Amino acid sequence: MLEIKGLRKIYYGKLGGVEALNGADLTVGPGEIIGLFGENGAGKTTLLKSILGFQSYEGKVLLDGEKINRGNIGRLSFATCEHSFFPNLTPLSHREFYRMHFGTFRDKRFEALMDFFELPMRKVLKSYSTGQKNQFEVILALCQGADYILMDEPFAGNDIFNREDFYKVLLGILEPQETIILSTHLIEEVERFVGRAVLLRKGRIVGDVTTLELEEQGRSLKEYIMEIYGYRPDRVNKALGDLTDGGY
Amino acid sequence: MRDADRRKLYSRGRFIKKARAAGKLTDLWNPEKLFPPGYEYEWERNSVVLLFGIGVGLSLQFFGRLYQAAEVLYEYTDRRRVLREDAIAASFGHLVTGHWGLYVPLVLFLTAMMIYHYSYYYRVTRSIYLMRRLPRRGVVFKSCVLGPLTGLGMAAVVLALLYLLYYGIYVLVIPGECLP
Amino acid sequence: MISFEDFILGDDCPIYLQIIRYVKQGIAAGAIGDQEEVPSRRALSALLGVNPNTIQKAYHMLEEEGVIVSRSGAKSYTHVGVGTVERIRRELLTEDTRTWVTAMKQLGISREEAFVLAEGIWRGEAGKGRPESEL
Repeated sequence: MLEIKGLRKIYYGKLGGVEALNGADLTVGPGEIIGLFGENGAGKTTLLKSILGFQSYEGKVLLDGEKINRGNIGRLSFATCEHSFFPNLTPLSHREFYRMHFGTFRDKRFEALMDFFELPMRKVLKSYSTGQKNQFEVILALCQGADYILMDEPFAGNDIFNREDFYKVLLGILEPQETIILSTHLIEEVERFVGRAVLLRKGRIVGDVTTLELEEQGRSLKEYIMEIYGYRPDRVNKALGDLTDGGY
Repeated sequence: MRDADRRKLYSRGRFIKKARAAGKLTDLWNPEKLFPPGYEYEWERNSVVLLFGIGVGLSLQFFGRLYQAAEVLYEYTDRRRVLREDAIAASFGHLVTGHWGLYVPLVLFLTAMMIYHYSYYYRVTRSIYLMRRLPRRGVVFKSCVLGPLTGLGMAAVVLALLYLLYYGIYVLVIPGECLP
Repeated sequence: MISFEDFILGDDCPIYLQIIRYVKQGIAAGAIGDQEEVPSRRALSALLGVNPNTIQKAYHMLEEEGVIVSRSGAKSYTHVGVGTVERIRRELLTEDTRTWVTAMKQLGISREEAFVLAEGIWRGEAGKGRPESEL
């Protein structure tokens, strides 16, 4: 169980402090697939990076009751659109590195996924296309042997590969205790894949609903999000009206 | 399982064990372990050798000074070289003052490299995000520092031997009674 | 094993209901028989690209209706007993008819007009032999 209580993070810049996170509370159980949504700057990345201990924060992050430390950090893995692999190394070298540092590396899954996405094992990562790099980044996060797999917009960038297949493969290989937290803008795409949607807005969690609940209410994820955000559908019409009234 | 097969398996197992042990030893000599993963250390190593070489090259002035220090001990009478009375040669330390300065660029370079290695984790990709998630302690620190430290250590050893050699030559060249 | 190969997900209706309907239609049409293996939650989830909780809900509701039976920890099988096919057929027919009636009412035509319309189309089908999907 991953518990986040009262998470606050303030970045200090030229214009004073920016509250990237303002009291986020979230509890994530094992086996969940959670979509993390929110506009840019809502705090999604800050939330994930705080959980992983990349930066200081106020509040608590507990994994099965313990703070995140060297003993349990291996139970968290991370995939980011900025990519966290070594560009000069090959996938094989990465496997060695992961095996050396994380005793839980999933060899068979690694081979199966590399095979499925037809990624060459012996080419250095910097020679990969952007799409392939994104895939490899996600593969590493999935094969570390972590229980909580955090992904920060892993499919951003110029992607061509079929993400639908990817979600299906994931659903097939994930084990009951593996949890995914996926931060993404691709709402419609992940709607069926995720079981729970968490919405962030201006550093706060403003929505937390299971997709089953949404289905029962007959609402799509997009509708739910727009509603929470106070999106007014008549905005466009009004703007057009204002723009065309003058005859220009 | 037939005995022949059993023996084959057993000997293969021992071979694998030996290969693994040998591999571990070569790790110590493997420069890759001293630098961040995938870091191209060749140019750095070559620069170190170059800086070191320049330093050593400049240190050869010692021989010039030694020659002068030795010459000063003699005077020429009747076209013969004779040791002057009460002639004391310059001390060895005197002959090599300022040599520390020859190696300062090397030390500065290696210190700067330690910082440069850290920035490697932010270049092209953010591999720092992987490094900071590792259960083992000090991996980042070691990867930044071990390479340059090894370089400094080796330079120190070679220089120690070199100046020992210089001292040996000094003692050989300067007649015993003139040694300070 | 029940095949979901030709099952296409739509957007109009909750997925778990679509799955339930697909199974029931299969039973009503005779394509799914008794004691047929039901794909595991994980397998169906991967096949359709749908979160396992949704699959779980569908299976749970089918279990409650007695259409599928799961042995503890082991696989689930359909339970299509005597009269089950007929019962399910009735259910589906009633459901579809209710949908149609609601639609007609929303369009504001009378019962008689609706029946005339329906009969015309039914006859048109039989006469020209066009498959329903072409409508």
